[in-house]
Amino acid sequence: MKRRHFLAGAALATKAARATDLCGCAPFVQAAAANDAAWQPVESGVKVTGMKVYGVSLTPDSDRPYVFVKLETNKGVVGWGEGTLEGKAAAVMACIEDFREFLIGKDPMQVEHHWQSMYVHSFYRAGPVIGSAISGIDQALWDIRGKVLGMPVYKLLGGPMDPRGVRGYYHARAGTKEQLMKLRETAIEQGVSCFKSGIPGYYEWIETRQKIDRAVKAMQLLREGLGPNIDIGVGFPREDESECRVYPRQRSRAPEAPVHRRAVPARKRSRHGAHREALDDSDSNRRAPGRAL
Amino acid sequence: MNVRRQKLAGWIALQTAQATPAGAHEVAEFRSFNVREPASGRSYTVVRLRTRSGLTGWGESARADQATVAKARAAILGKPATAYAVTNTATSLDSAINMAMIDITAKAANAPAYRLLGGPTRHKVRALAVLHGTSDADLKSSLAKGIEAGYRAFQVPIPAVTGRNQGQAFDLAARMRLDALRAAAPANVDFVLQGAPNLMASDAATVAASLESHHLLWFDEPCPVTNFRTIRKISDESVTPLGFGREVREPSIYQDLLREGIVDILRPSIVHDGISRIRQIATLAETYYVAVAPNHEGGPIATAAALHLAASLPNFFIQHVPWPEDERDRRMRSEIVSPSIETPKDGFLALPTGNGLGINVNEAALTKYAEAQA
Repeated sequence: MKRRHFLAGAALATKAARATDLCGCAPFVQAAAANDAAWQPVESGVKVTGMKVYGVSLTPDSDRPYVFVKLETNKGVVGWGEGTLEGKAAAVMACIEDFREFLIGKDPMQVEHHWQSMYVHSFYRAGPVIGSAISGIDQALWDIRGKVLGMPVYKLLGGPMDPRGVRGYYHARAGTKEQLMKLRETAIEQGVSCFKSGIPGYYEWIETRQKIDRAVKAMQLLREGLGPNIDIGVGFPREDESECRVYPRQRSRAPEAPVHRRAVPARKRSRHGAHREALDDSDSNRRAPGRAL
Repeated sequence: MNVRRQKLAGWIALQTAQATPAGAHEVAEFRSFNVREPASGRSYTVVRLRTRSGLTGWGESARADQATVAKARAAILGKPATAYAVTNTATSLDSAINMAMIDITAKAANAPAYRLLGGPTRHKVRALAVLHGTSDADLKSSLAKGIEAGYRAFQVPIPAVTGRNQGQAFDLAARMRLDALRAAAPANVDFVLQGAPNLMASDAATVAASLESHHLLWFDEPCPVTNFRTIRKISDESVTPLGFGREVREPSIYQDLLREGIVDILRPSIVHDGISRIRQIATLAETYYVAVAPNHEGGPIATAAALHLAASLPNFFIQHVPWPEDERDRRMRSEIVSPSIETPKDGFLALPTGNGLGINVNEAALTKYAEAQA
C-alpha cells in the first residue's frame, strides 16, 4: 500500500470521526478529496497541467547550478520559480519531482493552501532540500497568480512598501585598496550601497592571535577602501564566534550565520558582543537609492 | 554586468508600466456612514472608497466621530488603493479602509478577495453565535432558535459572578448550565464558555478544570490579559483551551501570550483590526500551532471581510457572527448587504463568490438606518 493511500485512509477515518471538520481546511482531508465537489464553486478554473525542472550551470565545474521550475496551466499561463541550493542541486530537482503528482490538476491560485499541504502534509517536514523545492514551486505559483490576476506580485501582497524599490547587497572581487576605491566609485555610480564579504583563510576552533589580526586588518581595508557610506555585510563560516566579537568596531552590518543555527547560546553571545545592526527600512531609505520596481 | 543590469532594469520598468497605468487606482473619494441597529442600538461606521479608475470599495469599523473621519479622509485621499498592506491613517477607521482597499484591489484583479490573498484555504467558514439571555431557561430557548437558524457552535455566558472566590456553588452552577445545554443539543453542537470581567482567576481555574470533560471549544477571556502569571495558573491547571483578544489592541501582546504558551485561540477583532493586521497576527500564531477565531461586534460588511479573511488563513478556526435577537436588526443587516451572507447552513457560512468582497451594498439602506447626528 502506498503511503499516500494509507494517509488518505487515515484522513477519511478522521473525517468520519469528526463530523464538523468539513470545510476542507485540513491538508489531509484536502489530499484525500482533491476533486471534492464542494471546492468547485470557489475554484478559479485554472489548473496546473505540467511541470518542468531545470538544472542550469554557468560553467561545467560550477558548484552552484541553478534550479528552476516551470509550471504550466490549462490557460496557457506559465509560472517560474527558483529552488537553487548550493551543492544540493540534484536533491532539490528530485524533490521538486516528488511534488509533481501533488501539483498536477491543482488550482494554482490556492497558493496558501498548497504551501501548507506541501510543508505539513509530507510527514517529514521541510529542511533545506524540501524547503528549497517548496520555495521554487511557491514562487512559480505566485508568478501564475500575478499573471492571471493582472498585477505584479508585490501589488497582490498589498505593496509596495517603498515605491523606489528594494535595496540589494552585492558580491565583488577586490583585494587591494586601489581596487576597492575603484569599486566604490562604480558602486556609487550604479546605486549600490552594500557589499557582502567574507574573512580570509580557514579558521579553527580557537583562533590564533595572528589570524584574528589578519581578519581585523581585512575588515579595516574594506572599510577604508569602500569609504564611510557603503555598508558591509560579513558572511562567517559557522565556527567563528571569536571573530564576531572582534568585528563590531568596524561598523559592519549584521554578520550572516555567525555560528551554526544549532549553536543557539553561542549565537546569542556573538550577537550581544557585535552590536548587531538590523537592516531596517528607515536606514535604507536614508542611504540607498535602491532598485527600481 | 553593467549592461545586463541596465537591460534588466529597462525590462522590469516596461513590465511594471504595462501592468499598472500610473495613478489608476488612486483613492479619489472617501465617504463614511454611521449606521445604528434599531433594536440593539449598536452602531458602526461604514466606509466607501472610490478610485480615479472608478472602482468602489467598502469597509467597516467601530463607530467613529467626525474628527476621526476628517483625519482619515485627509490621510487616505490620493493614496494608491492597492497598497493595502502598507497604508494607514493612524485612526480607528484603518480597519474599514483596509477592507475597502482589499475590496478595490481584488476587483481590479477580477477575483474574490480570498483569491487575491492566496486562498481559498477552505470552501466554507465555520460560524459561532453568542446565545442571548442570562438565565438557564433563556439560554436554552436561545439555543433552540440558534440551531433552527443554522448555527452549530455557541458562546455561553458563565453564571453571574456575585463575589470573589465563590466556591463550589458557582462551579456547580457553571456545570449545570453546560450540562443542560449539552443535553438539549445534538451531538454536533459545540460550546464556548464566555468569562466575565469580574471573574476571579481562581474561580476561572476551578471552572476550567471541572468542565474539562465537556470539551469546550475554548474558555473565552477567563481573566483580563493584564497579568500573565494569572493566565499561566489557569492554563497550567486544566486542558480546557483558553481564548484571548477582546481587550487586545496591539499585536505585540499576542506575541507575548504565544511566547508564554498560555493561549490556544487568538481572538483579534475584525472591526478593530481589519483583514491585514489579523493576517499578521495569524502568521505569528501559526508558528506556535495556535488558531485564530476573530471577534466581530460590527455589521454585515465586516462579516464579508471576515469570510474572505477566513478563506485566506490556514489556521483560521471559527468566525463569531453577530446574531441579533431582534428581527428588526436582522432585517437591517440583510437590507444593507446582498446577497445574504449571514445565514449559516449546518454551522457553516458559504464564501461569497463575486469579485472583491463579493457583496452589493445598498446605499439607500445606509441612509435609512443612519445614526442621528449627535
